Amino acid sequence: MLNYKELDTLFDHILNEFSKADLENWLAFDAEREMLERLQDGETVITHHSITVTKLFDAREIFLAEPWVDDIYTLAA
Amino acid sequence: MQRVTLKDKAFLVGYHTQEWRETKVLEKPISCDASNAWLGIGYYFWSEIEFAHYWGQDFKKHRTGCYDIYSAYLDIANCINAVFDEEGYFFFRKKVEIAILHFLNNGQDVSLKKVHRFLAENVWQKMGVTGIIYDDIPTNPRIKNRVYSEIPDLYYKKRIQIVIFDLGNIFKFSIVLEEQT
Repeated sequence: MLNYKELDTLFDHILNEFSKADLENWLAFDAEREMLERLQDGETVITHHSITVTKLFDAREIFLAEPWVDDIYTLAA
Repeated sequence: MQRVTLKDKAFLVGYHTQEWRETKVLEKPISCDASNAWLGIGYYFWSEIEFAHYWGQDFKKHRTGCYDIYSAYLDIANCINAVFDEEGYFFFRKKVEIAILHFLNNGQDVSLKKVHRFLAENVWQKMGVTGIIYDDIPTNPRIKNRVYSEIPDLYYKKRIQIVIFDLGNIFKFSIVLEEQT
């Protein structure tokens, strides 16, 4: 039979030993474990690396279409 | 709940459902996958054979069309009994909430399932807790017309599960019903 009064403080002590870094490590381990389980079960897991693209502002991209632009296509057709 | 005594020690009888294996009978229970382990990774049992059948019919026969039910004697002396023990229930509830707060205070937003898995692996067993007895929600999404109660939505039966973290607390594991449909 468990003694909940004794376990009460023991629980808090053990839990508080887990720092932010420890929790992050465990969550990363758990996520990887879940993914491996899915792979073992035959599920296809698509992973991708997201590359941050630096968006360059180029003033030449912004221009107002000249009224004659449409006419070029009309002529070409 | 069925109890047995073996060498002056009391055990709870639990039922474990697995997909039918044509050529072999399991010698030990199968540990639940992380994704399904709602109370943490361990060996899951039903306290009543009725629910073991439902589990088999709904989730354990998609490959072969049949399921097997095993029984075992479970040493629950050091399990948190959150079903019938008031102190156990409130202890369990409070500690789960404290664990969720601990994650949140450390900038981690986690699901309840992950918290249970974390506790099972990192806290409960270090404290000498060998398992948890808890009642699952009394519905089953796979078979919508399953009758749990003569009065709709009045679920008078607790659908009790026991998770045992270590094989060392599971005895007399054996097959009870084979090739069920």
